[in-house]
Amino acid sequence: MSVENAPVVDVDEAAIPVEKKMYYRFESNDKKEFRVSELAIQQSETLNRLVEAMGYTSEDVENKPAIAIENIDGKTLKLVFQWCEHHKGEAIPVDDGSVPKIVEIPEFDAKLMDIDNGLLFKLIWAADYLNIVQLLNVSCKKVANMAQGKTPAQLRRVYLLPSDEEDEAAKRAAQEAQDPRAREVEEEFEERKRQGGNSFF
Amino acid sequence: MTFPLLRLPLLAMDEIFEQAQYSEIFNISVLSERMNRLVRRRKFKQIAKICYLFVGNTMEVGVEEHSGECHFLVATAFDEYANLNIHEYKIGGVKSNFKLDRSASMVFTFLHDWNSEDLVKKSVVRHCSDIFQQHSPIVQLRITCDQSLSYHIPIIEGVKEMHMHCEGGEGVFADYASSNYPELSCLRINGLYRDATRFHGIDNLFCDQTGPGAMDILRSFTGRYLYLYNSEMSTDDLLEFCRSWQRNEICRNQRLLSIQLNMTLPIFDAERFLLEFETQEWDPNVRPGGIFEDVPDMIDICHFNGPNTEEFRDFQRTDGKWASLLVNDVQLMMIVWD
Repeated sequence: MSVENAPVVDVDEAAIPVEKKMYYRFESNDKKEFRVSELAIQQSETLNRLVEAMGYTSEDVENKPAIAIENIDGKTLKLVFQWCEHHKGEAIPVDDGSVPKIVEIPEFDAKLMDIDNGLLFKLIWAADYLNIVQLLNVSCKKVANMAQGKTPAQLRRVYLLPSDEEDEAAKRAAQEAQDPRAREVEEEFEERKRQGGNSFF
Repeated sequence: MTFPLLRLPLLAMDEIFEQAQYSEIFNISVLSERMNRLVRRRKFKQIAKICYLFVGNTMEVGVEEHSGECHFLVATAFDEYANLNIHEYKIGGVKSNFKLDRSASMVFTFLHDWNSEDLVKKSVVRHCSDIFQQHSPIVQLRITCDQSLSYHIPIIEGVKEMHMHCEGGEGVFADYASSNYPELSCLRINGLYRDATRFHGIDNLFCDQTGPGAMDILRSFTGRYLYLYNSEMSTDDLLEFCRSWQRNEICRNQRLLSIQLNMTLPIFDAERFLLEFETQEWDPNVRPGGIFEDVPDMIDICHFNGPNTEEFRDFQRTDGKWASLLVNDVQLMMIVWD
């Protein structure tokens, strides 16, 4: 996709200062391209380090291929960059555990996250992967809010939490898938024991 | 709508548990061994105090954060229909059946049958301790029950503060507290007691029904904060106490003493007391005053306006320590300055 055709994240142009700022180009794993301001990128520790390490000039940004983000699709990345543009310049919260964390979801974020749970899931993965602290905070807050007023049984259904028995069964299945011969040997051993054999060999 | 919580990265899961309510954390932790392990990754360092409350056959657990904010954690109760619509949950390593009851304030109570009351209470204590007490917050125990203490109340490890309330319980409370919780630093009881030496080592003591044993407590008290309500004390008793304190013979560590007298027994004459016990007016150059800190909330000092007023009279101990005294027909309050 050419630079001209790349979908651009909604940005309030009037809010952009007159001085010339660099806009980096990123490409999602489904080949959607985004132009994101330098300031917005600072919300992501991962991307910020990446662009710093690349040391691109304004010409490089235009002439070189867009930076590929291979783990995230275009729909999710669009939300991520919209969030970053809206919150650009804001301080990144530091959680040293010294004070209880109180996270409130601002109106913009609430609207941005008015999405199905599948996309919310991807958004959290993206926020974690790109290390966007405050986006991770608000998106996790939204998931935590799903627990409100729910019984344990309801929580099990909402969060798809298996019981001990289901966990055990899944573990056995995984072991079997990994080494089917080991399971066969075990079953053979059990059968011989039932038949009264003292020795397996 | 469902959300695949366990497919999230561990850091994101930690974040969700960080932002969930304590009661929700508890409810998630009872679903499986794996969920229990996952929620335990959160250390809950903001919890300053965990409070176990027993009222009759119900039990409630709450936490108080360092900010002073209090949160509900879990409640259990007996219910004769607890075997209907049941769910099996693993609490404190033990699987039991419960029916869930939601109150108007959206608080859930785990209802159990009569036979499992003891087991359930012990399991809940163990469960809460494993998850929420990893960094050793203050453990507070509050009991409201009949005088025979007939309900199942498990012994809880590490209790430092205790409040026992009962109608007509004589002796049993102080005995129960001191035998089961020798490490108490704060105790409030409303029952009478047999032996004042039972309170030895307690830093904050609040007796709601002190009765005629007030002098015994004063003679043996080694802590800092002492409230004796409904005390039966005469003018001679209080004169004896103040003179003994002045000679540094009793209550050497005292910081605050509040004696509320039983008003139905007019055996205290404040006027005579002030005539016979020598005090002087407050002089800010001699005794600058101060404030109280770290007083547990069950020792309620909210009604106390501060000692730097004309009502307080000052006197000095033989070792040079100053004390302020407020005396009237119904009370004696004494503050000792560092």
